[in-house]
Amino acid sequence: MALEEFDPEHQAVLACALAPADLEPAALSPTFAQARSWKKVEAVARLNQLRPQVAACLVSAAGTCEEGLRLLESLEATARVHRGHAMMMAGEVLRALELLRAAGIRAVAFKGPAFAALVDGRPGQRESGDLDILVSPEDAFASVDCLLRAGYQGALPLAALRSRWLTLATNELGLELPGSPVMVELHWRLAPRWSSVAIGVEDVFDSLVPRDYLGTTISWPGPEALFLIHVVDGMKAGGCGMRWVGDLAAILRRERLDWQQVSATARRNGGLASVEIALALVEDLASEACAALRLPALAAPLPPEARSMAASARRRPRASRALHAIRKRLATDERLAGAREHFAWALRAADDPLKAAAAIAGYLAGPAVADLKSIPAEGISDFGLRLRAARRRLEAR
Amino acid sequence: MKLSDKVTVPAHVMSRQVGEEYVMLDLAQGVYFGLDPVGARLWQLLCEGMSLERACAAMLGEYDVPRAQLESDVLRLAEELAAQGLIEIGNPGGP
Repeated sequence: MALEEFDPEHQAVLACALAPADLEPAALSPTFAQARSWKKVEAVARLNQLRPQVAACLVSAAGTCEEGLRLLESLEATARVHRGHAMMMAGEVLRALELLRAAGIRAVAFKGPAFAALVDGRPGQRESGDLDILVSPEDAFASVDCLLRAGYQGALPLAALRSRWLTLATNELGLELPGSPVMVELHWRLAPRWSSVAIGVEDVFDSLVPRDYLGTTISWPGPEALFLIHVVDGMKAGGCGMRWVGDLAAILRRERLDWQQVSATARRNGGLASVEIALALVEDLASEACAALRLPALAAPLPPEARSMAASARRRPRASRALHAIRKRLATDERLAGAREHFAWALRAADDPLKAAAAIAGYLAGPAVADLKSIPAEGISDFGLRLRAARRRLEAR
Repeated sequence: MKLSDKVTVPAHVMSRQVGEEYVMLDLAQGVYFGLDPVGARLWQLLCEGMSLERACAAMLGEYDVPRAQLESDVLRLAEELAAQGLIEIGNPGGP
């Protein structure tokens, strides 16, 4: 049975995630009419960071029901704030990219307001907590320095920001503009190093194409890279949250991908299984939503090469179990809890679990972000930091 | 408000250029505002420290508009910005 794990409220929010930008909101009215609790619709939309999209789809569906109208009002108020915030973030991403470019650093945006404008076709209609910018690992320190000089502040002490362990302990660093809601998340890898990725940073930089964004030409990942980036982004978190499924559907509808290139890049990076799982997920959810909600517009048709990749995931027991686990998480808003669940997921989704296990062991043998936070201003030796990390992990047990 | 007034952007207002427009955030209230391209140009000139009078002179060279209309539009927008707390009026030659 289609979407059997999803209750009517989750089905409605999933439909909003999958809905193309040009879908008439009235088409979703019957979907919302099945929802039993408007409060739950709001909670699911919030948990999945889909309030602006749900507000846009709910316009025609709220009807005259008092509770529905109240929810619409609340979601629209949230959407207005996010619209303003998204515009501010759009201005800031252009500023940050220019700062980095002027410092001779290659940098690329790949999510957030730029994605909403360039792919989704709904600029401003997206919840964006931070700005994601990708740089090469070798440019990580220079990028951090560049943004610190521009007024950003990191949550880690300066000595940690300059430590060689920074890029090993984490794949990203949050930098905030003090007193403002603007936060840049600087990435030098698309996922933690113990998580297999379908695309490497250099592959992304090799794919860049110029795109016009708000009157400025920016570098933007090519279609194959963009798709793989969003697969990595969703899969690293165990596939939680419906938004990434909608984002993948939007990319698949908008772009013509070279599937041989997608497959070759993912295989070379050790993340082919995650791509196959993601394709099966999007194909299944979109086609089931079409059938269950009688909304053909929600389809995200895959070309034959991509369908065969999706079929491969359904055939293999480990990938098939991962697929079911993601569906369960999407239907219940469960998140991966703690390091152990993240490690278990990384093993399940990796092409080569042995390699993933070695990466996890390597990560556990070195300091983590928690250890970097305690680096004193005068610095610390490698041995001292490793010792602290080992002691902290032992105490944590 | 007079054209000779010098205006300043208070520290609690953050602004960013977005294409030809400007978006401003009142950090104290968490409220966002937007300016169209013409309003954005005025904002840019005010951020450069120009008085309303000098901003008008600069804009007269950039837009095909009668002086009286431009001055009245600039004053009206400046009053709206001041009412929202996005700019503050200072005395010319004051501290």
